[in-house]
Amino acid sequence: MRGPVWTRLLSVTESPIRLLAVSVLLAGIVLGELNWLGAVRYKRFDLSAHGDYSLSDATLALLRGQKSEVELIVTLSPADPLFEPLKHLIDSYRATSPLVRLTRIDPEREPLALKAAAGNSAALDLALIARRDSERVFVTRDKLVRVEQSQVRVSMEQAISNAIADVLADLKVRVCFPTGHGEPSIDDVGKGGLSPLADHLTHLGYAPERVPLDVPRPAARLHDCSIIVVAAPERPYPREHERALESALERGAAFLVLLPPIVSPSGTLAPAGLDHLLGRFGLKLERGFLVEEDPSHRLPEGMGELFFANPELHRITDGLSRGDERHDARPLVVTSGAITIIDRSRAAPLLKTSDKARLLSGFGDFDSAQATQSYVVAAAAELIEPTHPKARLALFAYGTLLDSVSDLSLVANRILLENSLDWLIDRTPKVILPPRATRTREPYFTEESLSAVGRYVLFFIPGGAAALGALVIFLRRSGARKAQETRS
Amino acid sequence: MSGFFAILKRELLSLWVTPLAWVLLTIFLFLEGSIFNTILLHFSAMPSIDPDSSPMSAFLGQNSLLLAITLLLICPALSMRTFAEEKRQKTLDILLASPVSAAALVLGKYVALLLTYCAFWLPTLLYAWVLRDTDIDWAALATGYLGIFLLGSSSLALGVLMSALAPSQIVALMLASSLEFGLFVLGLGEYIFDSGFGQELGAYVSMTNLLDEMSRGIVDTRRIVLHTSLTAWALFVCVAWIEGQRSDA
Repeated sequence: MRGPVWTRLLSVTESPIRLLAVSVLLAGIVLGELNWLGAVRYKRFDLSAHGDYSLSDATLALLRGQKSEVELIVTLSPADPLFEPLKHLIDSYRATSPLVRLTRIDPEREPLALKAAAGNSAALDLALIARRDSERVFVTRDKLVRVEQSQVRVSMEQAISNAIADVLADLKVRVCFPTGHGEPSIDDVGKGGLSPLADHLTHLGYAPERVPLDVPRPAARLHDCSIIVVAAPERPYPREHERALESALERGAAFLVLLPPIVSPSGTLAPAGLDHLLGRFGLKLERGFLVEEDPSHRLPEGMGELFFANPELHRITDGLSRGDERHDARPLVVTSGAITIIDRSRAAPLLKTSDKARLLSGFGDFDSAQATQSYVVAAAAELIEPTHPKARLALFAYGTLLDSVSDLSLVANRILLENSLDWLIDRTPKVILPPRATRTREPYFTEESLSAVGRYVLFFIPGGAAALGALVIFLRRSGARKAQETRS
Repeated sequence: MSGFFAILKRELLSLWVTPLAWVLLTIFLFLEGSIFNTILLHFSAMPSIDPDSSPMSAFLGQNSLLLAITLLLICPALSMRTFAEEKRQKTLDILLASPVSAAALVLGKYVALLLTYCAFWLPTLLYAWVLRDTDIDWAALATGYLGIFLLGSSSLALGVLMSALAPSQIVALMLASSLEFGLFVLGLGEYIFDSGFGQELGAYVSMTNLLDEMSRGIVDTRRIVLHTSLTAWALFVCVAWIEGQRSDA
């Protein structure tokens, strides 16, 4: 039954050289196959002391339950110090789930591709985009690693797992932006418009929506809003509109209220028209604007209306500096009023001025200024008499948070904005991982010890090897000479 | 495998009683010392935000192209004389006529080179001793050296094969260097292609990837499969070549 193919194969084996060539070829094919299999089905073992590349049980459960493909787009430059650790961690995800795909966009080489993938948020400090079909969730650098003085806190796995969980989730949180009082619009792509903010919120898992209140029955328009953002109105709220907000409050809506001082057409400061709403949370907005006199807090330009506020301990301020730890992470406040917290309220201050701030009742009206003291410029509160357990409010007496997405220098305000939204709906991470150990980030050597180490590794070790080599060769040659002499 | 230890001993002696290995070792340690010293200066001036970065892990692979380039030079230089020198001195025919099997001949020479390569790296453990008061991840250090070993074993095997195929030492050096440089460049494809087959292939063969992962304490079975199979294939072809030479003779 020998066919012509077998005959030819056997004739090859008659020549040893041909047999060797065939065996080399076959070995190459077998090893190629082995590599292909190894590339498709592989395992990764994390033997490092911190176990940063070992996925926790919560992540493994998330990946095992994954039904659709998620593309993780790394948007860091390869030269970025976080690029390699992020890539290796994503490799651990890919080793666990074939439904996780990795793509890279180098922001320096491919700015257009980044713009296409990230839209208006491309200008942010983006590190990663999780994409499923048209759904996208963004992860910024500060979510991966936080550096606080000499401590590095790593939360890469938490950030990636949350992004995957968020992009796989179908429900979005409805965030309403009431208009009709001179607020900037989320549809406005121009300077001062809130279109970049709306894009960013979309990629954080929210559904932003503009809701005009200057219509009949405005309360109905706020139906089903999970969060209502009062975005720095330039005119006071009429009582009817405030009632519409209060009726949304009864249904369990949460509020992010940004109320910088409102200047009336006559040039005096006007009330915001939200006293009833704020009063239910035990908060009161003082009519006036703050001037910071502490040189370590205020900016040199202006008369002190631009200043850095001190964050107080709260979930919303998590990740910001406190006291003198890091001055660059304190939120910048531009033209703020002051907030009073009523004694019996369930409110907590978020941001405060130094104790050298003054409250002016009008612009430049220093005669009316009160004595210097510390003022609250942001507070978080729950209802004094809880009619709905979900109702929460975060009040900022300034509006800089709105610009924080388009202005990279306002990163602390962006963190405040994102944390506020999370706190308002009590959004806990979908995947909760055990905390990772922090690392110390300190210089290793003094100048003196560095030069000693330099001498050691550059001269003593190579010099020792050269000396040993010379000795061995000398001994060898003298031994050979002696042997020759003995022979002769 | 008769004659394996005899060949091993002969090769080790011929390597270490001639100046070549000692000159290479001195140059190697000076280069590695320079790299380590630069890394230390960098870390002292500006601690890295990379959570896993430490001087030892940076030295053993993290973002250290210099290390990969050093390996590209040192492995071909070590392996170039394996068979090419035998051909030059016309001692290959004597070896082929001896009762030593082809596998023992190739493996004996290869293991001698591998031991020499390990001996080259041994003094760099003193760098870790210098840093003993800092927070050293000893497991990551061990895997870092495993990465160096894996890369060296495949590079040396390819070098031995090139030495067998090439007519002279210098041609063997050039062939082995070109081959390894080609693999190195192929690995850079990981950073050139954003996704797809090119990126996957680049990531698979990337030397810097192997060293970087291993220096962080990550052991990936893909790297072990690739470098072990590359070593096995090169040595197998080399044995086949010896058998061919023997049958011709």
